[in-house]
Amino acid sequence: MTDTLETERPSARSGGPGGAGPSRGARAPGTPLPWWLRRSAVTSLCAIAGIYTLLPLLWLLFAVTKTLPELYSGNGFSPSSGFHVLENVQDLFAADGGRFGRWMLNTAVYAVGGALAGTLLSVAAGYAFDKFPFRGKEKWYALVIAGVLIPNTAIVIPLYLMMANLQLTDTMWSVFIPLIVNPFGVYLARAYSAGAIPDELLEAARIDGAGEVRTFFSVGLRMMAPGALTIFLIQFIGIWNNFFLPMVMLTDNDLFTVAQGLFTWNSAVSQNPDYTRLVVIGSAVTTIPLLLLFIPLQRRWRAGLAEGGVK
Amino acid sequence: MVSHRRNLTVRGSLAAGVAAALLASCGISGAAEGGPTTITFWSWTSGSQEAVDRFNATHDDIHVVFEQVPAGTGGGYSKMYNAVRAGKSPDVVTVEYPQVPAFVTHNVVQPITDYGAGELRDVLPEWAWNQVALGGDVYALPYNIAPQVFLYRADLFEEYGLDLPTTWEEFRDTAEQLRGERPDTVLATLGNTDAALLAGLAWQAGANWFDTAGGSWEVNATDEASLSVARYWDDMVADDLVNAEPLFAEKHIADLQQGRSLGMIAAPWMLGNLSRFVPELAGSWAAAPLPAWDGTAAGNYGGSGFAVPEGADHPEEAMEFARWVATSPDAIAAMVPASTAMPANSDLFDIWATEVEAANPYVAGMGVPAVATAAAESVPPAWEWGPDMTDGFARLMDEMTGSMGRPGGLEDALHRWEDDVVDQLRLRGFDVTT
Repeated sequence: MTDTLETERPSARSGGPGGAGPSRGARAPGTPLPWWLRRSAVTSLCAIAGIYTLLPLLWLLFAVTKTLPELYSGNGFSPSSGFHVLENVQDLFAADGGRFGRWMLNTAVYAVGGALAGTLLSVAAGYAFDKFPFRGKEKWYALVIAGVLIPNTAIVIPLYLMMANLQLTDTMWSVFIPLIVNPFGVYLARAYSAGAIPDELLEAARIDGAGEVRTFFSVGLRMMAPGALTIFLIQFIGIWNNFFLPMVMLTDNDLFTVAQGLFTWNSAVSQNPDYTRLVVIGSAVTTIPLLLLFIPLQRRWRAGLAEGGVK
Repeated sequence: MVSHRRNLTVRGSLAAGVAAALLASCGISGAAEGGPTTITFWSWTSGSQEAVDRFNATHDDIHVVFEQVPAGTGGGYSKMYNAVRAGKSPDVVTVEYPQVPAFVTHNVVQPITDYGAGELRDVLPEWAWNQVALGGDVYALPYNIAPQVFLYRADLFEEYGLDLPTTWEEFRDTAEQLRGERPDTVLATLGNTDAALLAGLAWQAGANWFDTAGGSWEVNATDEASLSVARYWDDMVADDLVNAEPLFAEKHIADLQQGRSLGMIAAPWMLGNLSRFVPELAGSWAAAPLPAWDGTAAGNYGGSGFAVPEGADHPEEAMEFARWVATSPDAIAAMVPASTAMPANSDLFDIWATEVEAANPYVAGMGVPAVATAAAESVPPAWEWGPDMTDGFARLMDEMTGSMGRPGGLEDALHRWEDDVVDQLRLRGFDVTT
């Protein structure tokens, strides 16, 4: 629609003596862009998206300074009458016998351990899919892709029954084991391996006498490091924010993740409204480790994403 | 989230057969020789941790491990269903009265009649007993109840020269008088998203939404009692005499803080909320019997009991703990700083009255225990709950939120809700009459 308008208007105006109008699809230099493609429009859109993303964080920043009644009175972006951050955080870590600290620690263990193990597994599998011929390879790969398409929530209950059968529910393993398998990571790793590791290099390593395992760890894994970092971060964030799996698997409050713990508190606010305040402060505190992780890794991650994307 | 939760339950039920077959052999070994028997207790109610700590400190033979689960329909019940299906039952759980029939029809809990629950029948209000006794067996031990009371700003009532209403008719007159004199102030805020509140008001009026006396589920939310309650509140909201909005949400709390909402239909457990949201209003509140239609009945608005899931390893020890919480003054003393909920056991009413006021300065002087005690004895005993109140409440909430305050809105909502519930239950194979 716009296309036709853009091409017809100049020729209609100039009468086009002898001049062929701009060819269809191409835009003559100087032709104004449609309003929604102009810099100002795009910038405003980005600004709106930015505000949309940042406002909740800003709200959270204000909220950590407030008392419970203040959370409910006045504007969410109005300042607190006092500065209650310290006592709020103290209360958070003291509540229910100091459970919040324990939950943070658990989540860190699940996230770091799960992301490390999961990344290694994904990278190894992706590398194998890319570099080795074996029977039924593409069929197996299709199975992995199918794994990407099945929503995690759909397999949680079967997993629960399996874990119950293995006597593993309500243990750390019941959350940890399912988390280290990440089909999307395998997919990324295969794509990355295909782009980043020339087959000739592996050939050279083999000729030099390295076994396949050594070749993988000394050559393949190293060359895939930026891709592995991407997978690690995706895994880490996924596990850090994972909610449904621990929710179903765990009941022992000492094994909870932060998300699950905050949810449990939040569900009990009609019993004890003060949980509202703890949940708000807890949410704010929970974002800190992710921020800390992102700041140093951000640049390398960006590089990794770009490299993996363009083959 | 809601849909996930529902899926969880449905999937749990579908998997039940498989799970039962797979897991039949998975017994869990008993307690270690010689040491105390360890039992697990799942709950989310305030004061549970305190009660467990006190119990463990005073008992050598049983050790209770308390695990906080998400509140009831917020995830706790799904968890219980799944755990039972998977052969991982805790020993004792909290279940709210509306859920008891669902737990029973799904075989999630076992009868506790033989574990000494029957001995407590005489000290429990008849209506509370009826909430947990189904078809000749007892399935839960009531430990707290929530008779409705009217909480009001005694200071402002006096200042504005308002008379305390004792009937719903007077309540309307008072609301009109107040509205006429102070256009920015209402007599009360009514929770328009709270299906249990509406049910409690119908209960007060003498309705019984799910009658099982005839051997089937007789669903009747459109009797004259329920409909007159619906009409009354429709008119009150339509004439702008009360605020219809969620309780303890931003708007309501701002209204409380600024004295623009003078009262609410409450139950003892809500005092804890009030004291935390508007601490500065200590000493301003008083409790009165809920206005009545005729006579002095109150409805019930909450409360829960202890149930023993199927497959629990130590049902006897679990019941010993439950009985201790339900009968011991020591348990009351342990719980009152964390919870203002009223015990179900009438032998404990006086002790609770003393302890709850001693532990909560905010509550002292409001006169709640005396009013609540009288109310507890006046709750109509006939009320029963349906076999799936998780779904029932969710549907009722949807219906009432959209229609309250339109002329005939709530009344229509009850009609639609009843039809829906009947269809749902028939679809699932329940024997339903209307």
